[in-house]
Amino acid sequence: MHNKIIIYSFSEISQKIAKTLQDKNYQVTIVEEDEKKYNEAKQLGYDVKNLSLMDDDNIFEVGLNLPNIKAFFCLDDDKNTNLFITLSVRNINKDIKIISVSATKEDNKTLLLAGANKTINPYEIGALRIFRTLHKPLISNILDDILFTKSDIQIAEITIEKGSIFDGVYLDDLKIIDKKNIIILGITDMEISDKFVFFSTGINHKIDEGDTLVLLGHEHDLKEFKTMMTHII
Amino acid sequence: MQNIIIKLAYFLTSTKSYYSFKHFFYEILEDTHSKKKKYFDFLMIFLVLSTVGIMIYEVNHKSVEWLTNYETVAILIFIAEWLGRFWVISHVHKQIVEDYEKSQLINQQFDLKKSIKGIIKTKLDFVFSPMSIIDLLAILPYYRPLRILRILMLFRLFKLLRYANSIKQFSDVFVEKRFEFFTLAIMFFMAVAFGSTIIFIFEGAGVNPNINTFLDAIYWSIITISTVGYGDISPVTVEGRIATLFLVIGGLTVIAFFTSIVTTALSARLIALKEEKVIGEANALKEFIIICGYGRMGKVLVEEFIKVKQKFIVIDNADDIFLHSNSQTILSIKGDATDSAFLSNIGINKGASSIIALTDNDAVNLSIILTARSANPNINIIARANNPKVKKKLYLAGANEVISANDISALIAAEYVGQPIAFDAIDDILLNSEGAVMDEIKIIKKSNFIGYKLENIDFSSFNLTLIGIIELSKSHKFNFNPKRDQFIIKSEDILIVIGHVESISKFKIDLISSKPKVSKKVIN
Repeated sequence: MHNKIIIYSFSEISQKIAKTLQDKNYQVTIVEEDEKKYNEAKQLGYDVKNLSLMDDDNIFEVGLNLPNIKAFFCLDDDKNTNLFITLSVRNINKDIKIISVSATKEDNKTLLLAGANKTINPYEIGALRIFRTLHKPLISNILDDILFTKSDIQIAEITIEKGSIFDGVYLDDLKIIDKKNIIILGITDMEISDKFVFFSTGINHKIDEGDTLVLLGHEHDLKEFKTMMTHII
Repeated sequence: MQNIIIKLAYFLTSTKSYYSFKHFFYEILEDTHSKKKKYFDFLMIFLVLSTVGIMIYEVNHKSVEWLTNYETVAILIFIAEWLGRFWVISHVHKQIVEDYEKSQLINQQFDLKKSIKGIIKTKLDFVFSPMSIIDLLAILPYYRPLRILRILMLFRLFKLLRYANSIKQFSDVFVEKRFEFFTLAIMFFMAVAFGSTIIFIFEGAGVNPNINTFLDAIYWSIITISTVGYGDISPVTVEGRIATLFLVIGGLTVIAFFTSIVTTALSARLIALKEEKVIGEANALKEFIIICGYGRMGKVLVEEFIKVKQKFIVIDNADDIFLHSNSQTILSIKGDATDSAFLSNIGINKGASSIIALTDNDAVNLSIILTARSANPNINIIARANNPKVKKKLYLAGANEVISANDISALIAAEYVGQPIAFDAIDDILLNSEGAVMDEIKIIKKSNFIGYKLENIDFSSFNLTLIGIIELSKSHKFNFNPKRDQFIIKSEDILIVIGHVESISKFKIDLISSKPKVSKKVIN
């Protein structure tokens, strides 16, 4: 099972991530160099290892070289440590998903260059959240409902499998979606690139095997839709 | 008699037109934040400079009649100005009413004389204030028979101080640093006294042909000490030269001292001046946002505000806040946001619509919330919680919204593990990236689409995705993905769409001008 998550460094944000992922039935391991923080995490009941990932041997020891790790979070406070560990882990495991924390836009770039798949900038996310509350309070509320609270409306992604009824269909022709009360936000069309494009860019994409659709809808509608989607003719 | 005066005072107090009439003059003459005063000041500066120019011209030219007439008009304006100031400086009727009511309150006979005495005192205080004296002296030289008074013409130039606020600030430096200047004056006086006495003793008695009186000696020592050194008087004896050497060294010290006092005082003033300007600008703003704390979050927020032209002011207690925000578009001030006097100075009770406590210290943020809430019960307060556990306390203190960056970031990060592509979509929307934005579009009251079915609005040719509609009339009910052939558009409905910024703005324009294609209106 690909449900193992490794988080480097124990902090406010890593605790929050660990909790959220544990709720989703992931098996989370925290790696912490500092003994005090290690003890703290241990007391809180987390699965913790007292190691520094600055040493490649330790990267092997926690199993970051293995293919069964779903994702690795690099959340150290120090920008240089983050860069170093991101680069080392990427060097050892080409396929692992690495998410690193950054503090500035410039850090984002260097971290991505070092091999991170994604960067998270809490300052930017927080500031934009405040901006939205002030500037577009209505949208802010709706987004919050969709993203952060366990409301009925959810965002979901579905990857098209071979032989699906949607294989080879054009996005514009997906009339069935209207009946299901589901909105297609966009698609990653593997024919073009692996980057997500919003439906609203105006290109009529042809859906093929391996493409991923991002949908918005009520929970039960999404579930129904998923079963229908995987239905093979 | 007393009754008539009291009645008159009450009458004036209750007359609105009199108040607004007087307030107009007050604004012109004394309200430093008023725009009208600026125009008035420009006029007065012009008058001062032109009349001084005329006087200089008349020194070696014959007087021209129209110039004299012009000066007369200018002087009349000066007199009117002074009388105006005399009038607006205090409110006679208000004072009488106040005193009368006070005496009624404590059941005492109203003493009109005492009240008038108080009024006269405030008026006299004005008459003898330095600025008023300068005004009066500036008027005097017009009286030609007193030719000696011509020198007072210079006071008109002093009058300029009144109109240029920043110059006044510099003159305040001398008042502020009076102790230092006093010390300096004593040093200077002693050096001059020693120098002139020594030179007079050694070279005064006919030794030096240029030093005949003690005044010559003083003149020489001042010219030497100030390092001007004309050289018209120079020492001829050895003793005199030695005295000169000491005097020159002493002079350098005095000048160094003087320079350091003036520069430190002026640079301190400069900051105060800048702050005053910022406060003045903030007070003129409407619907602006106060940002407390300029860190990494503050920077991102400021960037976004600039993009949408939202007015704001940044408060930070870092010394180099002015350096931090090197762009001139950022209104920033150094200060303590937990100080209620400071916050009200900036305008938390006037134009501010929201205040954001954004420091990295939760205790400070809590204090800012409490201070802001006590200063203005209606202001919108948004706070940053560095530790998610204090969220509750911040709400308790009076924040309208508390945001924990770590919480949101963690939720988003967790989303990436399960649904990386959906995460990309969320990321794009949340980060206001160039790909697509989520926007709200209000159906205006005059819209052609009111009463028609939703299918009449053409979203697809603008490449917009409709997420839902908020119905203001139904207490902000959010309709997710409403049925196109059923939903009927009402006035003040808000459409929530996702799309490119440009297509959204095109769509907005089109929505106002275009008409429904189908002509079947459902309801009126």
